[in-house]
Amino acid sequence: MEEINKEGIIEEAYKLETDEALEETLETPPSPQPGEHGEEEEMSIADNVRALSPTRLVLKRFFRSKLSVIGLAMIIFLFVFCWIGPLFSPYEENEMAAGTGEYVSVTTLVVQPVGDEDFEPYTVYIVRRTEAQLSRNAPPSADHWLGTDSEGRDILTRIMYGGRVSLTLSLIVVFLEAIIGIILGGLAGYFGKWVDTLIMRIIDIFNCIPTLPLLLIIGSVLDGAGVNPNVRIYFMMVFLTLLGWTGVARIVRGQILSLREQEFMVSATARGLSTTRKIFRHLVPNVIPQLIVSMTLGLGSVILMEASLSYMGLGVPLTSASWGGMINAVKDPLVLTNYINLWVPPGICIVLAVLGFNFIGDGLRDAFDPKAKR
Amino acid sequence: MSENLLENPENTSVPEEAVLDAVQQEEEKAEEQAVIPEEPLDPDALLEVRHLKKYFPAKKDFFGRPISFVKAVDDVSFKIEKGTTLGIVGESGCGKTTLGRTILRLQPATDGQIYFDGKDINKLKTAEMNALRPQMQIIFQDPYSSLSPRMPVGEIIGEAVAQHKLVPKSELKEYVLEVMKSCGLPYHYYERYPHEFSGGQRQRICIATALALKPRFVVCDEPVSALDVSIQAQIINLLKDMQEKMGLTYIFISHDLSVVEHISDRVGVMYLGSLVEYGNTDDIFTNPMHPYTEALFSAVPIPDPDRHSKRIILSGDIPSPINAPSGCKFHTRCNHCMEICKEVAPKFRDYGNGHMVACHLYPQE
Amino acid sequence: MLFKKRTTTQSESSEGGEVKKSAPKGNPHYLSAKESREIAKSNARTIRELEKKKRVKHVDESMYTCRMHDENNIVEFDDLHTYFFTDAGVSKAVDGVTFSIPKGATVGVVGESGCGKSVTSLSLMQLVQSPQGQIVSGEIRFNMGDKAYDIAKMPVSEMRKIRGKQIAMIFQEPMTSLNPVFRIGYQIDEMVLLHTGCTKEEAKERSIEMLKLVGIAAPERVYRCYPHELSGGMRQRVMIAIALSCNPRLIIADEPTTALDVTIQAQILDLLREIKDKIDGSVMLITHDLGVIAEMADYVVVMYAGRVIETGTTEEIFRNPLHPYTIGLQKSKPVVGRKIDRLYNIPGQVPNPIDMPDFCYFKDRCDRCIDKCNGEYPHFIHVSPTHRVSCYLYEGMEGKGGSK
Repeated sequence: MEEINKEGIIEEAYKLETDEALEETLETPPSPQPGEHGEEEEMSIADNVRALSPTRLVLKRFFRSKLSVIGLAMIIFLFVFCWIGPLFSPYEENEMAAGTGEYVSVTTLVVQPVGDEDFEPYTVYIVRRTEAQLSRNAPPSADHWLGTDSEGRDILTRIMYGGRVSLTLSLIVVFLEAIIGIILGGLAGYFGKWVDTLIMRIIDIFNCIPTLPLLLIIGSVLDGAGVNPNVRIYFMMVFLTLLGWTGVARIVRGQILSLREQEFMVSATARGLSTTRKIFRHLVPNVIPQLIVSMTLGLGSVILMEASLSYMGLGVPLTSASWGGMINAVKDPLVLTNYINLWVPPGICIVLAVLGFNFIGDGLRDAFDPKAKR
Repeated sequence: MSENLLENPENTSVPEEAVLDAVQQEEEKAEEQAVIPEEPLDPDALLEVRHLKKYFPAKKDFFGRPISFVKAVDDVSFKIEKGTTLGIVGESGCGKTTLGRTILRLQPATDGQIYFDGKDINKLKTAEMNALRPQMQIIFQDPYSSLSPRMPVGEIIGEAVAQHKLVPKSELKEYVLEVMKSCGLPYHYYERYPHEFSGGQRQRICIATALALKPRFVVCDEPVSALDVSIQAQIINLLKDMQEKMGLTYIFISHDLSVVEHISDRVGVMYLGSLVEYGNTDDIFTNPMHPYTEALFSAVPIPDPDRHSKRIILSGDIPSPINAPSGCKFHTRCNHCMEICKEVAPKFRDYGNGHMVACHLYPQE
Repeated sequence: MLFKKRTTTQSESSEGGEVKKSAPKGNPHYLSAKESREIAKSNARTIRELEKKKRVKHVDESMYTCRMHDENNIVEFDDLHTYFFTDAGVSKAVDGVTFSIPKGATVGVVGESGCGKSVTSLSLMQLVQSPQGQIVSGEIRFNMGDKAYDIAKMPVSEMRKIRGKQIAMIFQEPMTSLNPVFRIGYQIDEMVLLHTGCTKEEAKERSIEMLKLVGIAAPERVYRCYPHELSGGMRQRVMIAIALSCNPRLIIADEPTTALDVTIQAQILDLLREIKDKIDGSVMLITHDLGVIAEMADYVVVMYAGRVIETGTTEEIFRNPLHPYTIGLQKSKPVVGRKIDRLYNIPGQVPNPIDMPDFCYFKDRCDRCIDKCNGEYPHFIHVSPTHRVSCYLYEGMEGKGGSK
């Protein structure tokens, strides 16, 4: 072995003057070095043709499709609308707008602990009833662009806050799904045998569970257990993740199964690379494009799921705004017919978000596909 | 999770015991093929393969036990001396690729011994095998799928070198650049991605990747078949140059006879998983003894309008390796087929000067 | 319109952001965002114009009728330019190709991958992948017997009558060029029914006759088979049977034996030769294998980077190759029974036909380069009535057979 080294490559290889010289050649924009065999000089024509960088190639394909650009615009608009919008809104999420509407009695509960050191402390509830002038179910006006709801809250502002909830929730859920999916799908795909069988059967079982009834049950159980409504949203995330990771895991497993048979993986084995390196440097980077696509498409469905749960009053607590919860108002036939401004705008937002994510997902799929001609 | 499972993901879900069982049954049937006494190893040989078998289960019964096999490699024996090249020729489906991969234990062998440098690599533990891997490398046919697509060239070449600590970390980059240089790759390829290169350049990258590990033995699995003629010559010359510089030993697998003749010292001709002829390149090409070898050679088109050689056109196609014909496997297409060929498999015998043939046309004793 | 504008600005802004990330030092091997945008713009413009021309309905026959320069030719390519408008620039896949295929002859087109040999044949069939691929200029004159058509200007509806019936094509991959869900018989019948208008029984008769012609031993059985039941060689025979079923005047064989084993290749080549004599048609044989050309072809066309660099009879090309590339190609392939120590190799790479400079494309790889080679692309020099070469080395040797 040693002998070969000495007589072998190193001696015959290109002699470097100094290490610095080498560093320089790498730092400065490299140019073809005149070689001993004269081959590099001859390569000029082939080398002068410049290609697109891998990232730009993907972007280029992505932006070529109008639909994906529209999708991206829709999503960017929604994000800007939900996060930047409230800064310009004069109203708070739950603020009941004073207006010129009918007078209603507003009941406020004031809790006042009263204590004496000599006696046991006790609590006094003070109920105040005041007459306030609220604008409830107001039509769109200059003050309230989309009017107000039955509680007199500004709809536009609530849509913005509701969007924050929906978008964050879906992002977190999809991210969690991806983590579980990559780990379990990766294990199943890479190791095969009984690991694969076990994980795939688990996935089958999860796929057998009817999602909506289960979530309904969970919702009422949470109600019954008296879970703090503000914590409830985290429970929802966890359950949505648990029910949704199977799709990602299947995609990852399928990808890894096909990649494993590729010659570069055989070559990695032949070079004696470690298992971790094979998985994390060779397999995972090649799965990521498909994963991004499926995650983007998943975002839309999570938003839908959250909306339908909130609609049924099982998702986000009623006090905080959410798109699904706002549509809930449509249950009242009066609202359905007379106050379209209450439920159409959040509905449009849901449609925009889902369509937007799907367009982007489709665009990315085409962009990442190396075989796609256009 | 057992360690074995962690280290051998390439083991597909085939129960290896079942395959071995079937092999044993076969061996019991063929009792007359008496156990050959263990011969001493040839000290000149870097690699010696004895009775290598690789069966893939083709059909399984209800319980997943295999009931019929694809005999991809069926009792192949040969040895390669240090610094020489063995060419393996054959048509598609004859098992030459499987042979190459089984020798490197990229697929577990069903039966037989592979002695590399005196050690039977089938008996090595996984960790020992991994330590040995840098010494045995492989170059693939398709330079498009054999390079990891999302890794820059420099990293591809250097990663295994770093893993096996062949070079100190500080000198790694320098070393990789040296290897690239010796394989005719310019410096600025270091940070570029494989998809930017043409087939020939990629094949150079593959060669650099394999040779960076300072191997002693390289399996070249159709390394030039996917390349253009003018690039083929460059790659063949590069392989030959590197062999001289590093004292490499090659197995050169190809279906292109002219290339094999050019590069090999010895040639083995495979048909349906078995060697039918083996010997020095000159002997085989000037005096092909097996009818299949003869037909194969005569079928190669010669780029000379005057030299229309007399073709021996074989009738029919290669039979399926699942139900290989009995007796001599070639008898279904052979122009000299005799009655005995259909029943008795011919012995692989030496007919002088190491020229071995398995054919009933020649005396069997 | 307004909407369109907005989308483009969107894409531009994000691309601009990308440049900073991917190429901070201005990597010279990648296109800058600006260049890539310019390419995209000019591509879109050119493609739109060319597509508009194609979409014109009811083209009068006189628009694409032309006259053959030589009535004995079946096809004449005249200064054909087929370009691909890619993201990296205009790829001149076929850049001024001129040659002709005489009646009843086999013309072999040799060249390495990417030299434009397949695109030439696809242009002849009007099968170039549009909208990126476009025939930009030039004529392809096809001899219909009593008249001649210029295929480059023909409308698609008329072209359909020629495809398959007048010109048939055999592809490289017999595994993928048959539809796996239909029986072999159906696929041949389909072709016969479409172009001849005979009854189903007649079509079946014809199909079985064709299968017999291509040397299939049990044509009735194969007629009822699905493609996956046949081996590669058998499938290629079926492909040939389909190609022959309508008595085409020209068969284009695009690497017909590359995917096959040597022994099967020998069978198919023998078959092709026999059949050409039987049907009295012409064959355009595209291959990279000089051995196949030497055995099959009457005339040879050598292509390099989208251009024809040498044409001649097979004798001339193999006995007296003139262009340094043709010589190099022949020397770099080892030949069975001809032992040499070291193979000759042509240095460098096959050029990518984008932004080609206007000098001999082979200049950088040529070992016999002279000063003149830096000038414009060399014109053809007719060293004999049939043999012409595009190289400055043979200037002033017109009609002298190329010998010094």
